[in-house]
Amino acid sequence: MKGEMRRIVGLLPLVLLSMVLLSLLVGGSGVLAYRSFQSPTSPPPPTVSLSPTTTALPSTETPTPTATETLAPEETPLPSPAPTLEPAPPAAVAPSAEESPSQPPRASRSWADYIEIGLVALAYMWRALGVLALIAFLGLVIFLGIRRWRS
Amino acid sequence: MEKLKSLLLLLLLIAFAIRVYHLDFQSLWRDEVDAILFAEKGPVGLLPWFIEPGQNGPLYYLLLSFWITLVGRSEFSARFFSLFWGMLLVPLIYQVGRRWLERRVALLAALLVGLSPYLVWYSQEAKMYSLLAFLSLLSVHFYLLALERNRWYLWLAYLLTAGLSMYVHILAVLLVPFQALFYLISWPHYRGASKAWLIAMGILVLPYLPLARWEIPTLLSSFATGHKFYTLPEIFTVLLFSFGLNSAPYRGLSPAALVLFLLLAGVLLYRKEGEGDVSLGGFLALVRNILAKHHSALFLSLYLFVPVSCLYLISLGMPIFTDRYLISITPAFFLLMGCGLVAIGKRSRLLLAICLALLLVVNLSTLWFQTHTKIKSDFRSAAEYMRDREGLMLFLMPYVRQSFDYYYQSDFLGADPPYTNGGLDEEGVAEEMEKITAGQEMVWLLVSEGELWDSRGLVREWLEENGTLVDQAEFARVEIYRYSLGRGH
Repeated sequence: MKGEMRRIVGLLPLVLLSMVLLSLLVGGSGVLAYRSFQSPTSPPPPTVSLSPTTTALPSTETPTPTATETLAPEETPLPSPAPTLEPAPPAAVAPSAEESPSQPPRASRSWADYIEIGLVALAYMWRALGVLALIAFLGLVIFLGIRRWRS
Repeated sequence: MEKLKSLLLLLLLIAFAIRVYHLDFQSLWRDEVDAILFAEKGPVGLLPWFIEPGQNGPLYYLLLSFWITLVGRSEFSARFFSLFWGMLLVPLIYQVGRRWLERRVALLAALLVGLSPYLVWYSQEAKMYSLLAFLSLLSVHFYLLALERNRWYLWLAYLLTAGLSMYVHILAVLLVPFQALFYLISWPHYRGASKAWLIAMGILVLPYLPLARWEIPTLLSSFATGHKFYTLPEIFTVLLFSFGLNSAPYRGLSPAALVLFLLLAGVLLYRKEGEGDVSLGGFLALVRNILAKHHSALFLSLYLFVPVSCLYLISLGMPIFTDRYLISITPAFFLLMGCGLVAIGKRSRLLLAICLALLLVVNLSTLWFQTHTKIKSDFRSAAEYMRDREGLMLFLMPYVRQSFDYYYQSDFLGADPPYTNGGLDEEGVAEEMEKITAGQEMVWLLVSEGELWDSRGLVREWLEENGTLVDQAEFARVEIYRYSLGRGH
């Protein structure tokens, strides 16, 4: 028992360290008030129409939300800027002083642009089809495994 | 061995019982209702989400769509899908702990995961988080196996699980820096796997690099996400309380100090048997010696700290911290606690017993609390209260209307009050409210998280000024007021 107590006392510095560390972490930061569940701290922007003509209509069916309408404020997804798979359209390019406003500006595409388009397309293909490819590969592995087991 | 198997089976049964008990006690909150509505889009409706940026977890909704087609959209059935993965995490963490640490740590970690109020909470929520925790731990397990054995099928299993977990939640990608850093630090140990590692990382990361060109500037921009900014120490404190205590009625310092004590003991005192056999000699050898001696602690510390640090770096530009986004690191948290318990047990069995008893008391009392106290917005009761009542219903805030719809399941006259947090003044509110309530004698105001829509309370103020409060009711996170506007029909 004496030995046991001595070993427990040996752990006291770690107990003290934990308490000091916790006091430092918690001290005045207000994180104890943090709420884990459905409690966003700043507002979502309104995404529904506020037009009075649409307000007092009876709801006849369960609305099928779109992603932007219903993603909860706390469950904020990563922002979704629309990435351009293709270079900006000619209209977005400011015409130079030499060019007549009536003439469409020439879109100059370098090899780098084409490579980038290819890479972005590849990335999207992976994003779209990668999961299917992974699942298909798993199926193939299982199939080959079964075939080997049978033989 | 038989005894161990029986013990594990018992743990699994306990984990299942705890998770299935009062599975539908809490009303579905808006994110869960959203998940069901998204899943009801079906595979065809959800497939575009795999290429739309900004969707943080399309695979879960796709799987849920198959699931609810089979078993229905009730609270119990939708949540049971999460329960399944949450339960599987128990044997998986045992397997990981046994393979990479030691059996005692594995058993203790499995016990802690089985009884964790935090993981039970997300096993009882119709969201992707328990699946994410399971898949990400499986990917870490395959990663370590692949590094050690360097077999192609293990690398593929890693790519498969890591890839799938990223489709379940985009922030699963935060585990990749941890895995890369762990490999680089432990490189001498795994040097035989260098080529395969480079190929695997390339397959996993390269296709995303072009996207990173616009994603990273966006992440570092000041895009308003609705999340508060937390400093790194604050993030760690929140995680300590969330993972360790979750919804404990008493979120005091003592239980948190116990959890922190065990984590520190895991990092500083725990040493796996057999670790530290490298001889001294020169500075590099010294570094290798230290790394070898604390290899397990290093692995778990990186697993815990690197994803958190990465999330913090992202949050510097765009605050996105929420504890559940980091649920993929909970296995490291509980394994480290298991290491701490074993390290303490080696020094004092009495102290180990005391620590375990205290942990059990805290966990069981918290589990009791969260399965017997209404914590989520109680739209089930609100819809029941409103059944067969007439009048215009105003939803403050409008996002919660779908939760109400889910339970009410009948036609009603509904409207959204004006959004005032953008700066709309009293006159603007009055104008909007006059239009919305035109011709209505009775108006119901359903308030849930209303501060996100009307933090100054202008809508309620207008109703107070222009009507008479004739009825009110209160449920968890939902308040209902009935006003008579005195207009007559």
